[in-house]
Amino acid sequence: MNTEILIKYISKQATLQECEQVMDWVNQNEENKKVLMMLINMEALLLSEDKACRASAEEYNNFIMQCEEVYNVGKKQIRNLWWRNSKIKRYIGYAAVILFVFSVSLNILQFSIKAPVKIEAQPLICGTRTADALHREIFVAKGEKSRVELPDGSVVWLNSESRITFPLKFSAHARMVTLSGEGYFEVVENPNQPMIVNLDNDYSLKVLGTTFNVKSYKNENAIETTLYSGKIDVYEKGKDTPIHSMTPNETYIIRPAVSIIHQPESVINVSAEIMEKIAAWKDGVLYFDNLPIRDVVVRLERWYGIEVRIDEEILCDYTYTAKFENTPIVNVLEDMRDKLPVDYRIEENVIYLVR
Amino acid sequence: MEIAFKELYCKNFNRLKNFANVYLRSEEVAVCIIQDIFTHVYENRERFPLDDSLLPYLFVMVKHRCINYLKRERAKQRYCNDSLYQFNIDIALESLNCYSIESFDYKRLVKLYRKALEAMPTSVRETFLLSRYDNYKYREIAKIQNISIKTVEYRMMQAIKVLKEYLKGYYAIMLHLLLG
Repeated sequence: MNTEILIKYISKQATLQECEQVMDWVNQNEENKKVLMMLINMEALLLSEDKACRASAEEYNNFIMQCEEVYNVGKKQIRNLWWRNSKIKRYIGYAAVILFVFSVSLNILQFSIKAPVKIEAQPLICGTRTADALHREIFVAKGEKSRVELPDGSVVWLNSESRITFPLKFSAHARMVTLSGEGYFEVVENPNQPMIVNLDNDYSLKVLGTTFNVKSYKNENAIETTLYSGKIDVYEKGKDTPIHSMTPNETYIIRPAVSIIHQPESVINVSAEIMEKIAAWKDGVLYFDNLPIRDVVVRLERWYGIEVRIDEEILCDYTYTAKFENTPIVNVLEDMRDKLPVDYRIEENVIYLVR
Repeated sequence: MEIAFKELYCKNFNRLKNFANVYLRSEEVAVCIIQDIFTHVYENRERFPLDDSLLPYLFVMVKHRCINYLKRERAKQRYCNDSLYQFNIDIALESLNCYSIESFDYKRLVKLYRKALEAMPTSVRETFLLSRYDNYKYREIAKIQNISIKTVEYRMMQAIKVLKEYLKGYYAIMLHLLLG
C-alpha cells in the first residue's frame, strides 16, 4: 500500500476510489489495520502539538457571548424550579381549568351568534438565524431592506428578498460570504485576507477592499456587478483563473443561461450618474429608467412586498421612467397612471394593471 | 481569571479542534464539541487551574466526547449501508480508544516534525500549513495564494517528500515496535 494514499485518506483529501482502496487494504489483515491506526494517532498528535494557530480575540468574544447566553438561560431555569415546587401553582392550576371551561363556553356562545373573525396569519420570513454553529444567515423579505455588519467590519446593505450567509468568524486567509439577491458592499481593505463572495449561480467574486453593488436574483437571468472603487476578480466555479477583472465605473453582466445568439458576458462602462442610480436603493430611492413594464412589476413586487399582475399583455410594450423617495405604492401607481395609458385596481391585496 | 481563561482558550482551541477533527472527519462537529468543553470549563472556572496543567484533562475530555459522538453515529449507521462511512467510524473509534501519549516516543516525533517543517521552502510550507491546519481544499488554496492547482499539488508533494525523509527512521522504529 502506498503511504501517500493513507496520508490522503487521513487528511480527507482522498477520492472515493482511494478510500475504498484503503478500506480493502485494512480489511485484509489486523496488521494493516494497526498501521493505519498508528498513523491516525500520530496525525492527531502532531496536529494538536503545533502552536502555529491561535484563536483570535474576536473568536473568543463570540464564545464568551454564547456562554453568557447559556448562563442566563440557566438562571431562568432555576427560577422555574422554585415555581414548580411552590404550592400556589396548584391553585393557579385549578383557576386555569375553571377559566378555560368558562372561556370555551363563552367562545361557543359567541361563535353561534357571530360569524368567526378571520385572523390573518403573518409568517415570519424576515430575520437572522444561526445557520449552524459556525455561520449566520440573514434573510431580508420582500418589502424590506437591511444593513449588515460583517465580522471584519465590512458593511453590506441588503435589498428586498436577499439572503446572505457568513461565518461568525472569518478564517485567517479568506472571508467567505454567500449572497443571493442584491447587496451593496463596502469591504474593509485587507490584502492578506481577500473576501470571496459566492453567488448562487456558479460564479464568485474575489475582492480585497472595494465598494460594489451586485445583483443576482434567482428569478432574473443575469448577474449584474457594478464596481465603485477598488478591484474585483470574477470567477466561474471550478476554474482557478478569473474570467474577468473589473475596474471602477464598470458594470459587468453575466447571463448564465441564454441562447447562443446573446453574448453571455458583457462589460458596460457607465457614467457617474447611472452609477449613483444603481445603488440608490440602499437610500430608499426607487428608480425606473426607461424600464419595461414587465420589469417594473417585478421591482414593485419586491420593493413593496405586494403582488402585482398585468391584466393585458399589450401593457408590456410600455416603458416607465420615474424616481421615488420613500413613497407609498399608491402614489407610484398614480404617477404611472398620469404618465402612461395605464390604470389600476386593487382587489384583495393584489394590484391589477389595466388599460 | 478572565485573562487566564482567555489565554487558555486562544492557545488551545485550534489545537483541540484539529485533534478532534482527525477522528471525527468533520470540522463542524469538532468545533461544536470543543466549544462545549470550553463552556464547561468556563462555567466551572473557579474550580479549575486555568493554565497548562489543565491540558491533559482537556485532552481526556475531548477524547471521551469524541468517543461518545462516534458511538452514537455508529448506532445510527447500523441501519444504513454506507460501508465506507461505517469503516471511517470504526477505525476512528478504535484508534481513539488506544490513543495515549505514552504509546509514542512523543518528544522525538515532535522534534523531527518541527525540523521537517523548517527544512521546507517557505512557499511549500505555507501551502502545506494551509491545507493541514485550516482544512482548505486545493482549489481554495490556489485562489488564496494566487497560484494554479497544479502548483498546489506540486508543493504538497514536495512537503510530503520532506516529511517522509525526516520521519522515515521514526516510522521504521514504530512499525517495528508495533508489528515485531
